[in-house]
Amino acid sequence: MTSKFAVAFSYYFKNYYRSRSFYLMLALIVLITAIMSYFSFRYQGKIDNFLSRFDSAAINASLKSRALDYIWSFVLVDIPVYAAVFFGSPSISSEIEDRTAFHIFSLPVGRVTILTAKYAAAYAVTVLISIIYLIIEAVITRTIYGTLDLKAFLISFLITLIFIASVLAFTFFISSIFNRNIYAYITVLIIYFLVFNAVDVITSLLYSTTSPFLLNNAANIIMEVFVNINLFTFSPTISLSPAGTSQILLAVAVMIVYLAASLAAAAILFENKEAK
Amino acid sequence: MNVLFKRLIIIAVAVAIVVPAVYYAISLNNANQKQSDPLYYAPYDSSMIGYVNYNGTHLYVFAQNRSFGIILDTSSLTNLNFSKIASLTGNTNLSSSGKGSSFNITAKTNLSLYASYRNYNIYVIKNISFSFAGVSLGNQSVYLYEDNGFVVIGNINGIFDSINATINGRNAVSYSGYINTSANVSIAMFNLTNRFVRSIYVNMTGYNMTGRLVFTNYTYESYFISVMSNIKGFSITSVNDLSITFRMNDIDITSAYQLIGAVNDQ
Repeated sequence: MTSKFAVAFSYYFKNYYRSRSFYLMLALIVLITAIMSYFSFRYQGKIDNFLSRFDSAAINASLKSRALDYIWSFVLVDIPVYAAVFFGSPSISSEIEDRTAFHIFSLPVGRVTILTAKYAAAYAVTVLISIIYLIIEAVITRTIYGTLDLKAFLISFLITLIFIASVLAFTFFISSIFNRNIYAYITVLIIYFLVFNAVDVITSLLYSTTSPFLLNNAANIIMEVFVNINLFTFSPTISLSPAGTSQILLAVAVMIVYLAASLAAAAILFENKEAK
Repeated sequence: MNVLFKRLIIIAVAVAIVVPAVYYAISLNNANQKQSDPLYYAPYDSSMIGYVNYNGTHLYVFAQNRSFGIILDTSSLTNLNFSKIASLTGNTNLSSSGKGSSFNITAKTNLSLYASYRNYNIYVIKNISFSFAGVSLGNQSVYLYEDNGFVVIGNINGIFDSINATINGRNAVSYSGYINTSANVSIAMFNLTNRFVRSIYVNMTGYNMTGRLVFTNYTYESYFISVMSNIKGFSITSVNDLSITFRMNDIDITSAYQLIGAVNDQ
């Protein structure tokens, strides 16, 4: 089974990194990274202005580097989502739409093996793309401020890896529902950017807090490990300290729930799929 | 492998991961809701929020027109001796047991249950006398309640406002950015009715102070700058529209009074 998984993984991995989606994402990442690098050098004084609004005495290179990493992570939290939409949304629906299901379903390989291999391949390419951004983030921060909060950076990096796994699993689940790619694309985007945000606005209005059980809010911890600022509510909370351990564990637990539930649902739906 | 058996394994594995994770997330969220942030117990419409770090004991204060309160994190009470408080009152009628969420105050004479309000027991300490910075108050009554390891002490309106703030979610957690907990004393005052200053943010560590003032108009701002520029140790670090940030080194009681006087246009 392991060798079957390895063969399927290498096949899908090649398939992904040779695809137009991968090069489009790569081009986007290079562009975003270049823009962020330019802004980091051009407007670094703005970080001082922003921080001095709270406490001018507390400003030091370490705090400024964390504030810069916060801004970089602000963009980073959406990168896995777009990558997941590109790589995850058509993952299962395309097998039906492109009629490749006729070939792969007849192979002597279990569907769970096919699903997990495809998921692992999508995960690998998404991580590859995100790592480019993260490395440049670390280099730029270190270049500008001469320091990098390595602990916060590594925590943010690890949570990003978990978040990628989680959001990809979610898109695989949505993809397993549909037989057309376009429906999977649209549904993922609507759920993530419309439904989650609508629920967020409602809970913000009613309870003055964001719902921690939504995946998009859990993802915010990727930036909050640097500086605990939550701007996505009607009463923004701002603390110059990093997010606390319980806040991090809560976000990770939410991501794991989405990951396990989505993968299991995707596996069961994929088992029931019929080639048409 | 049987398809049904395979599905059962997938569901079992998913349930084995999801159920404990959901339970853990809910319990963490409930604990977070209860908040480790003391400002959870301060009302949203407080006009003053303050923080005091006295030898490792952390106090938060809040005030508005008719109410005030002190929020005490009992987990930081390592240096606070209740027998000293009791001796201040002239009675030895307070005793404490435990700390953290199991913090209790045992009443002997003066501490008594005052009322139960929205499922919180409010206690009253009658005839308490204390003096601080030359101001003496005698035979006062203070009220207090305890929740999640935090004790809120204040006047009765302060206690009611604090309880309402926690239950209604209209608390001052969002103001935490204005408080610097690495300072010994940090004070933020908003929406002041003062004619000259709209808001004041001050942090004091040792004898050094940094702060920010937001004035109501340019006349008062320039007046303040001209008055304060003559005061020893005072320097303005930035001026941005009606907002100025300043630093004051080696602050003493005279320069503190001069600063207060200048803020009040005296």
